[in-house]
Amino acid sequence: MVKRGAKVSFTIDGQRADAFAGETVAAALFANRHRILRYTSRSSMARGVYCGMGVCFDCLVEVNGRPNIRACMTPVTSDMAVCTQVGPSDPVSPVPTWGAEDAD
Amino acid sequence: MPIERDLIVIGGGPAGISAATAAADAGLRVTLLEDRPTLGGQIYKQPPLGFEILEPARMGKEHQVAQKLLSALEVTDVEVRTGHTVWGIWDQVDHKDVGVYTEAGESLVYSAPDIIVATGAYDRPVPFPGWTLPGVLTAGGAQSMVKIQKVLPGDRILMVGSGPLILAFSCQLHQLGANIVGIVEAAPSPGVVQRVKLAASAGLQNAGLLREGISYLNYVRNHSIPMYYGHAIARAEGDNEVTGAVIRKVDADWSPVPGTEQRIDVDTICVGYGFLPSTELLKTIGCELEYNEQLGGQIPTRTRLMETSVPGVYAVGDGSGVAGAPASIVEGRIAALSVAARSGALPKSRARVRVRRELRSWSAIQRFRAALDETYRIRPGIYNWMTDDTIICRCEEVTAGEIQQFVGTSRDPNYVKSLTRASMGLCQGRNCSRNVSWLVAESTGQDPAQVMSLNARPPAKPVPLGAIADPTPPPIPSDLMMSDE
Repeated sequence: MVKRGAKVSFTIDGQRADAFAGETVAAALFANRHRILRYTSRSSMARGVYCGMGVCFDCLVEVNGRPNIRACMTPVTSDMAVCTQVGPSDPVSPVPTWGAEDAD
Repeated sequence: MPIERDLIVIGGGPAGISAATAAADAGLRVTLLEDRPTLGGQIYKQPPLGFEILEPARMGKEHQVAQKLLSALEVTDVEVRTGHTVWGIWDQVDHKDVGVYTEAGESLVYSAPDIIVATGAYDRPVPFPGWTLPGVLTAGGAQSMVKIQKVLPGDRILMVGSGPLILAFSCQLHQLGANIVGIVEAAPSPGVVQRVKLAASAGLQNAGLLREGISYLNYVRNHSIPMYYGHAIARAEGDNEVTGAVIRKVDADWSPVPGTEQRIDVDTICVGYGFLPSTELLKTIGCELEYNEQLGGQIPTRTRLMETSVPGVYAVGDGSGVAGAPASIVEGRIAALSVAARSGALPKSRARVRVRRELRSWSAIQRFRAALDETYRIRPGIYNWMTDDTIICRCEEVTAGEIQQFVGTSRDPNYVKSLTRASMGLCQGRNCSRNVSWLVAESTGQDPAQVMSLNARPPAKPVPLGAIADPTPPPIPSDLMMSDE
């Protein structure tokens, strides 16, 4: 009923995985059975996708080296490097709230 | 330089699309600003760019309504701007300024004599032990993932919530291949009297909705999906991910009934107990608010023409009080006609006739909704599902016990926020401030409706400093420069 975009390859914590161009990082992670997206700063609690619409900021992952990227709002691109975020973000790097289109 | 228009519509869901279309049809120069990359809001969320719908006719009624709305918008000259996030609105009396940050990193200001705020709603945050575990999703989040992204959130899914939407979601997800192991509905099984009342208030306008409701119940029965009436979620189990759910009976007020717990083997829990309106922008501009628990808490007061207490600021759709897509579409039109009449673009007599017609539709929709809400209203026992150890502020990891410790004799949640950091996180209190206010109310013996609101200031959404900072600041005068000695 719905034809997905082109298949792309990306990495989850360094491991190769498949995704479809245009789908969210959250969807691609779930499709690869990866639901723990980060560990919190204060008590190292595991967090994942909660609201799925960009308001809760729980689904934060590191994308191409940039932290605090909302997986549910970011489309997957070819060779995107997604990593589990552990603890607080690097205070020196910027805190983008969009996808990482401009990350190298 | 601000970009000047006759009308700015904030939010591209059903209310915003409807408002922008009607206003443009009346001859106004309109800009529609939408945060996401596509229009449709939540209920009419569009597939990702790059996905193609092969058989539109099989996509269901919602899809057809969405396409009709979008097609009507497309033929107007509304300037549609997706990837544009509105982080602030300011009342300059004869016009309103709208602060925008785009996904391309541009900072813009729009300006118009009138603005229509159609920012929609989000799932009500219901704290219970384990609700922060990966595997616990809101019903909206789950629906998005399955319907739009075409990915199942888990292998064994428990749906918990109340009302027609959780029933509808469950059937839709099941139809799309999800393994729904149970539907946990907090309200008791609707008795005969209630069913008759619902049918009587439905009227022609809502007959379709009623038919849908009955077909969903038939679907659940035909597919043997276990239905637990008068039950609610007690806790989510698991160390780093959901491995099980414990549910229990609740009484008529939704308070837990001791000794009725039962464990269900699941890996995913979808939570759907209604929605809260996104009123952040309206609060920052100083709109007068009233408290209505059923519509989601503090909502802006509005005239019948959808104008808030701030002249020139209109509020429509779920963002002003959750009332569903049909009402949102009608409200968008009413506000647009009102703006068009006020600006002179539409003769007042013609506007009056059309607004009257829209108001009649609106009243019919409200009557049905009132009957539905009576059956499925949020009951106060829901606030008894949290324990001392339950995280209330997800972003800053603050528990109910910690919040209560700091409430003290203060009646002011802003004080609690300062001491605990609750509501200071990235979600800006969307997922905790109502629950913090409830805890303050409980500890100080107030009615939740009386509790002071959290001070609201822009930005209404997290934006980088670059969105606000002047990229070319004036040079610092040399006598203020630090010397090197």
